[in-house]
Amino acid sequence: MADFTLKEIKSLKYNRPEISKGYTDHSLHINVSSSDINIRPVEKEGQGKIYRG
Amino acid sequence: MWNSVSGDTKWNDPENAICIASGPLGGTPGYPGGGKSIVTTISPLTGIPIDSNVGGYFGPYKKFAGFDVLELTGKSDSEVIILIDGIESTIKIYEVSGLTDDSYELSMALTDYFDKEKPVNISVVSTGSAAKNTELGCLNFTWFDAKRKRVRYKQAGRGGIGTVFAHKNIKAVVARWSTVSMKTNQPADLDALKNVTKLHAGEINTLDPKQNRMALVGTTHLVPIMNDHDCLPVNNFRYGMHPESKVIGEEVYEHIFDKGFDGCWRGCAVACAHGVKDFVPFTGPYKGQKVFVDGPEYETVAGCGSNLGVFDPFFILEMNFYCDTYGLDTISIGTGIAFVMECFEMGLITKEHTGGMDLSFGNRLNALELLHQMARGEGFGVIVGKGIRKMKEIFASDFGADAAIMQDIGMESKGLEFSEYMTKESLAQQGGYGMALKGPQHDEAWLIFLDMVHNFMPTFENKAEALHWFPMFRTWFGLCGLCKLPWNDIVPEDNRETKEPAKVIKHVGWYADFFSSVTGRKVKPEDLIPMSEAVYNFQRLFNLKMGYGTREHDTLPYRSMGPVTVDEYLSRQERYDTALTEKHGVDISGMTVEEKVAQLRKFREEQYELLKDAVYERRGWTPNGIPTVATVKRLGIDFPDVMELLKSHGVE
Ligand code: SF4
Repeated sequence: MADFTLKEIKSLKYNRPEISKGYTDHSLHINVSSSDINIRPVEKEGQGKIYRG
Repeated sequence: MWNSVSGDTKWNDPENAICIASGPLGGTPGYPGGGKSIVTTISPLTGIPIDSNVGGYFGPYKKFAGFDVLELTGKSDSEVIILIDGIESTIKIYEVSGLTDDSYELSMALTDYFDKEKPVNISVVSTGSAAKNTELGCLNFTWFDAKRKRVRYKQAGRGGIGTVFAHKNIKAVVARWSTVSMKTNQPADLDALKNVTKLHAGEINTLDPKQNRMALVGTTHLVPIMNDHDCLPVNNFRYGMHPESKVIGEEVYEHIFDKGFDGCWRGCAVACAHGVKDFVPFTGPYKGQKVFVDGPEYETVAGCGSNLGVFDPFFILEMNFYCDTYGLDTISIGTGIAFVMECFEMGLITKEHTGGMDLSFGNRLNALELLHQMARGEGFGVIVGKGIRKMKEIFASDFGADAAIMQDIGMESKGLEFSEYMTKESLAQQGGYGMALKGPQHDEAWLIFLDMVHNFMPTFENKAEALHWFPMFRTWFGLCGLCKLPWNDIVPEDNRETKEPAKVIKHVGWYADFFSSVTGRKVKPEDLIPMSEAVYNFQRLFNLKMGYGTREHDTLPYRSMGPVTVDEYLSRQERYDTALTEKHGVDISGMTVEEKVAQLRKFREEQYELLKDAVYERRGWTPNGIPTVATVKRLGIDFPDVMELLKSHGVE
């Protein structure tokens, strides 16, 4: 295969959320328009209903 | 996704999100089917959320890297690759140039690039060149097969998720993680987890060789079963069996598949994700080269084989290979090309429209040429790549084809192509397809056997109950990050003697134990359904938010209910005559076949509407198919925006 090149345009070092009982309780959001990277705690509103299985 | 998109969001708007989650149980090595992910987005085919359940290591690796869910939004100006590196605790975005679009090479190249020393640490999500030019794009999720020293993949196939991915200009998302053990998911009770894992895996190891032999033949064991029960789609779902089906079933693939362990997650005892080594394509860019084909599974065999009138296992391999590497859903491709072939044979479209191609049933080379055209973004293949719903519009408006007959034979509902089961004789499965939230995909409700073969649900109420329980339980697997196959493809030896054999209650009990051992929430089998009921209803409401999700959208093409043409009627004349006389009390003496076709249609369409009434009532929905206020309150999903949505549809 022809050579390819990767040019880093964004880098984020993060504290890895620990897993507990199958969940990390965090979500990762990446917007490729702006290259924004966001790590958020899982919203409480849905817990036990929508997100938690 | 609910928060990211508005009711006006289209699939190609930047705010449309692709979400990937692997649930609390996803990433449990050794538990059969314990490593799946669910992928969702607003589908280009349907305009509503699609969900696709997929193997490969990406979902678990992403979770071990720290994230229950990944959400991708926006649209990049240039092609990008995203790395989620759980070993280095780093996330990177790269601009990429010079990298092939073909998933087959790309996934190997990126695996090598990101961890040459330990390729098993890498999982790549990518699509292919045809996803850029069609609305049928799939995503390939990889894992590194250490024994064969090569990258393998499974597909999030349905609904054009790969098309959304390509449109965002995302070339690949890569997850990196290292050691995995049962402790990695930090279960609440490791001993209980080990215990239930041993029970389920042990049973599969003992019984699979006596039952479906999936570790040897994968899901191709279904080909002869479907054929014997008149459920194998042949020539665009016209017929349900064919004498040549033997050459595309388990007897043949058992000898073609490369021998070895084929779990798409670590230690899955079912190990059904087989592949073929050293296959040499006879068309396209890989012509004459040895390649590895991941598959085929039953759906690909039926969709790209019998449904196209082709009974050649090597042709099916080539369709499988190019669909994967071009990033195409084999089910929509099979059902879509079958529709085109029938239109061609009926004279609704001609060589003038197809660029000179003869697209009669059985024409292998031209079926493959359609795929190559989709990859190149040229010719009639680009029209086929828009899916059946849009093809029907184009054929009618640009080619003058008869819209009514295309409505009957175009096997789509909600815009999604049917998966590969004949439903004419199973009213319950018609409901399973027509009332599936995302469109006619069997993973929500697969009732054909229970209804047709075992007659477990003779009344509307029985069918409605099944169309409540089964979609809810099947949804539970997606929520938890599991594969459904170990639940009911291999069953306990005494399952038949249980009260409700279809539910495989012993396994439901094991799943409750599995859930309890990982999450620490003590649940019983009866607690599992309410978990997914909230999500199921929420997804229906999501459809409503997007402008769908009501009774009129749960419609089916008549081909899925009964014979459209005289030929079809005559092929099963005794069956249909008996239905008219004994079931519906019609005196058929003196009736023409056309009259009998029309009479049967009237009855079957009425029955389907009655079934909708019964199912909506059982699910706690209005006669228009919308969850009632009482239902959303009972399920605890009465969020302010949900109540507002219901109010705007007159549900108060
Ligand atoms: S049963 Fe088959 S598809 Fe399901 S996880 Fe196991 S190997 Fe993968």
